[in-house]
Amino acid sequence: MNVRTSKLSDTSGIKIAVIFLATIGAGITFLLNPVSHVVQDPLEKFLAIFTGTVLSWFNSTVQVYDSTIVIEAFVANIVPACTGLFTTTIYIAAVLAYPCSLKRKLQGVVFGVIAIMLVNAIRIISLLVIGAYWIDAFDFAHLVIWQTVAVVFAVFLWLFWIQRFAHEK
Amino acid sequence: MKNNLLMRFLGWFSIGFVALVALWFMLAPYYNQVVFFSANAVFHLDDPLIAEVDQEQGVWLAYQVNGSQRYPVFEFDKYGTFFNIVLLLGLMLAAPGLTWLQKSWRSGVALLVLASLHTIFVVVQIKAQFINAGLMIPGSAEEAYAFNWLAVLMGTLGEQLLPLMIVGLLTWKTWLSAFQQAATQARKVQDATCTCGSGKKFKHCCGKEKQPASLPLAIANILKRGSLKSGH
Repeated sequence: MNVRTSKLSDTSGIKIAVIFLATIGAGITFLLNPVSHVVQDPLEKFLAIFTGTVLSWFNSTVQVYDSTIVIEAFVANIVPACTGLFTTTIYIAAVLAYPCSLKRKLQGVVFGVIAIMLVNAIRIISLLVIGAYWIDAFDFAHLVIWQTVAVVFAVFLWLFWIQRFAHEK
Repeated sequence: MKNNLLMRFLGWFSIGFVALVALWFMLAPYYNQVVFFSANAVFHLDDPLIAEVDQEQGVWLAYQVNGSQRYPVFEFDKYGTFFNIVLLLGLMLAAPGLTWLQKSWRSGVALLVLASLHTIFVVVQIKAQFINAGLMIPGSAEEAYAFNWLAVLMGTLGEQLLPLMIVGLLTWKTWLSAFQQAATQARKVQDATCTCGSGKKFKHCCGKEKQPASLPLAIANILKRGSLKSGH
């Protein structure tokens, strides 16, 4: 009895792993392909305008040129790695791999992508402020703090989605 | 109570994160030394030796080697190179149901795997940069494309994904058993006699109106469904 049950669990585990890795593979193939600029370029510009607008409420020196933001003497360019799409890919793969109904998965994807994009916008705003006023701390905040916080946020979001939404009828 | 596992995860990760960031400042130079030394060992397998990593005034540089001469080609990020070690160890510390000893040896294994991957990353990154700068001639166009692709992949998605996958592989069983344990406890509460004095079970009385979906119960249900499907 135990053997059959564990065999079935193993199969489920393999299915979950296959869906997760396949989604990651598809995401990577898309993101590293020039075709992805169709999504990435407008997103970069949108993020620049959005974060620039928010910052301009508090600082009159803020200027936005295409996907470049200038605040005080600090100039930042929004590049593909800043869009949060890599973290989003990991999150989407985890949601799609989790065994529940397609409707719940779609809900999870929409809810999660919006949340990750919002946090990413907060990340960019905070980094711009740090860059403008505490330039020495910029690299550390950018590469150590926010990279880790972003991925842990995605993991937490996934667990929260399982708990709150994945099994509702 | 239903958020116990999530909150504990976040709590331990936050404590670990702060402590590890502080430790990272002290230990990163030694870790970098190990990784770059390993990368150099890989490069010394090449004949003739064309690339080498070395430190100059606290900055790690990739050199092109040409006989007894060497020229710096690019420098590594001060913070960015191996920061995901903090993520890896933080997640390991936050894993439920493990003793400190288990966490320690699993962290050691995870660290060894990540250090190996970092070494591969350094080798791939240097080869890709050298190929792009015309300092190294690839065997074929496919080889050049593969090095570039791998360098970008490991430097972007890999930075976040690799620690997650290593920790996932080393701790998924303890996560599942923690979910099962919490689910058993949650069921005990549901099946206990209601405290209002009606004599009914809690889930058929005061607990009837609102039974929020809980993470442990959700996971336990999946495990249960798996067993039911197998015909037991």
